[in-house]
Amino acid sequence: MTDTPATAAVQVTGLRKTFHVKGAPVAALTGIDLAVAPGEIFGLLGPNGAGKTTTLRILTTLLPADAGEAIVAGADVRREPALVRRRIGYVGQLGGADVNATGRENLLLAGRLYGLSATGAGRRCAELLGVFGLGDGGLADRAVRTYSGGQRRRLEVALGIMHRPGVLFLDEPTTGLDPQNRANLWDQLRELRDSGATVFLTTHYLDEADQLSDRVAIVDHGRVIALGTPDELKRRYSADTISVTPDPGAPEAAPVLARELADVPYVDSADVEDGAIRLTVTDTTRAMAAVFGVLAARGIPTRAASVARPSLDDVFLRETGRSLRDKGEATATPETAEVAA
Amino acid sequence: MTFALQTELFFHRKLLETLRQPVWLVTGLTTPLLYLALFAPLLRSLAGGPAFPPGHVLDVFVPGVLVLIAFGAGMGAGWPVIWELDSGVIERLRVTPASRLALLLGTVLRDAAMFAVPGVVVIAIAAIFGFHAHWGGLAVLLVLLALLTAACSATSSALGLNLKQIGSLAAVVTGVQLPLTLLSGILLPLSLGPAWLRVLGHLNPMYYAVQASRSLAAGSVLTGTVGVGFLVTGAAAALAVWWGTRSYQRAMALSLAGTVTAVEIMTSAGPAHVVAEKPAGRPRFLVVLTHGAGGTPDTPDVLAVRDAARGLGAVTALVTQPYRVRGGRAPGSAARQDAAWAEIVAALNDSGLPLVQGGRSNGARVACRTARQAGAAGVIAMAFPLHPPGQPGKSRDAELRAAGTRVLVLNGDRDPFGIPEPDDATHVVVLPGETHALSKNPAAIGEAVARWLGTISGIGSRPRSVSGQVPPR
Repeated sequence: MTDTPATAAVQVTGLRKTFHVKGAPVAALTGIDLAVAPGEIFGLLGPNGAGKTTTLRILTTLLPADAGEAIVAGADVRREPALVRRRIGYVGQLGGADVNATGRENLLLAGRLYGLSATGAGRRCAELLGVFGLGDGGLADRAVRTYSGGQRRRLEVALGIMHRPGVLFLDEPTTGLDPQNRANLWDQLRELRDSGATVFLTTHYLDEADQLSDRVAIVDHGRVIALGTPDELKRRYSADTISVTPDPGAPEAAPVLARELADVPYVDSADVEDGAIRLTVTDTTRAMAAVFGVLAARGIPTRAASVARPSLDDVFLRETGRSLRDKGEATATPETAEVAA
Repeated sequence: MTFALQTELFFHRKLLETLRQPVWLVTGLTTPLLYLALFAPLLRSLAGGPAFPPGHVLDVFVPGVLVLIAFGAGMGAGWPVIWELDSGVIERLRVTPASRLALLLGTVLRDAAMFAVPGVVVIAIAAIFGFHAHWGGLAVLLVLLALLTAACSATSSALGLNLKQIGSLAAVVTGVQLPLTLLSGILLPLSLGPAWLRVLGHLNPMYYAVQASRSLAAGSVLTGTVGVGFLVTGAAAALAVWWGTRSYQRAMALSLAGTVTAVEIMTSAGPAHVVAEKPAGRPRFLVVLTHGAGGTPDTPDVLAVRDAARGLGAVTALVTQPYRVRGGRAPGSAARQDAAWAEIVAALNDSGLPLVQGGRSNGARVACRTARQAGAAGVIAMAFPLHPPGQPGKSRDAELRAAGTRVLVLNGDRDPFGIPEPDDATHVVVLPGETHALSKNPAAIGEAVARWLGTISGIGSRPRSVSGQVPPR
């Protein structure tokens, strides 16, 4: 797979964890291997229950692993948990801001716990309040329970980086955020990466893994099923597809046409689904020209045609036979470019 | 050094939390004062009897009440621990270099210090009514009972961290409270009882604290009883602190990953975004909430309703309506908006749970207009805009009245779009000092909603608290 970085920010080998639910063993991790390079945004993508949170909890010293090794920020999670804690930041799925305290009190306490002096913590607090847009209108001195969801999440990320950690872990950081707050958080995480920190996040959003992460590990049933940059993965596992729907009055039936189109240059395979011909292609632009050339020459009218780029879901589908999208998510707009027929 | 500093930081944090909720003092005082006022008189006829220790009734009774206060002050610690577990505070602190012992001691020391307040008040009041105060003994007594408070506080924290659920903690605490207090001779001296009762009493660590307290209150400081009291209470405190620290080392919230899902639901007006959250146990009802005209569904008032519903075991869903997903600021045609809403709710409620729907401002109107068709068991209308902007003469009260189900209205008393009349809805709550934004006191919204949801049949309420022991949050 991808080369292991020489000095990894996170190096995980053979991580295993089994929980006992009402006496019955439930395997959460069945052998996780991955390495995260310093200064990258690394995304752990998978459906709910795949083992993402368990992995994160082991890496942040919250949970002991049954077997395997994890080196985080140069320290062994099992043998040097105190050292790991000093070097990492953590933004959990549950948030973790104290809602009865003010934003400023939350930040100051976090700073002091990491050994900052009172003045040092004050300076860093003022800096982060500015960076995360929490400094205006007395917001910092109001109880966190009066914050909006977006404001609270920004505070929680600020809490995680109060002590300038080398590695920041975030568990589902954008769940529950509206698109605008989500985009803001992505920008902030990119800035953090650009300033030299390593960002390790879990997500069940395809676009988050795809657009935000430099590299992605796709997990399912407690193991890594694919690892690489989003582009690598998509190229490796899936090709672009062209979909053409001939007019019902077309002189040739779709299956017949599909067999003919399969022989067109740059077309890999063809099949028919719901009256539409789906072609997987090796070079989208050239294949498109060739396919429409054939259709035009035969005088076959088409009702619709589209090009679909592969998504990380195709990678997941290919590996597991299931879709990452929940039932409700299945209607999400695919990356489809409508082409006028 | 670092440990001392961390302990001080956590103590300060907890103390601030208490001082910001002064109402806690009132509830902390009510129970002991009621005992003094209503129970002590019953003892008068027993005083001087064969098995009753000599002295004024209050001299026997007040030390017991003080032990009761210490027990209550300490045993309340577990509730906030569970809230902090659920909100991820403990998980976050566990990933910092903070000592787990310091984390526990912050609460334990706060409770031990705060016990003194109702303790001194009760002593002062009792002294007025004839309690013979021996000041030297009472000073040592307060130290002993602060130690008892610490033992109870650490125990309660450990219970909270291990049980992880308010209901279970309440069951355990109420379950042990009665036997522990009765078998320690707090209310009536055990010497009144038969031998077997006295034997059982000797197995109860609190019995020794009560005996030592009576001795100290009588002014006898250097007695064996006092020594044993300190020894037993100290040992209990040490054991409890060890258990609490151990529990902090492993503490993990019960509601784990997989309960929150973000989904997109396709409607006739385009896709809607929904963040749905399932409770750990079996869901009891469904609460679907949405935003105002140009807003997002994560405003403090909407989140407060979500949290209240979650606490009662609801599946919650925060909906961003299709026009907002598209980036629009105005909802457009009401018919189209309502149709999309009906589709969203239908998609969310495939298991047929009792439905409560709500929203703020324009979202409140949608919830009212569609309630009948959706078969909603209730509607929560936040910042219902009674008058269209700039048209105080026009009223939308008909929308509220046409909901056809139970409606809870929550409006600020400074809402420029008007405040519905009490008879416009089932229950109208006017929040003082709030404007249309309803952002100042979400806790009040949460409380009102929790109470109201409890009145809807089929939803009801779970036991969340034990009287006199839960500091309000």
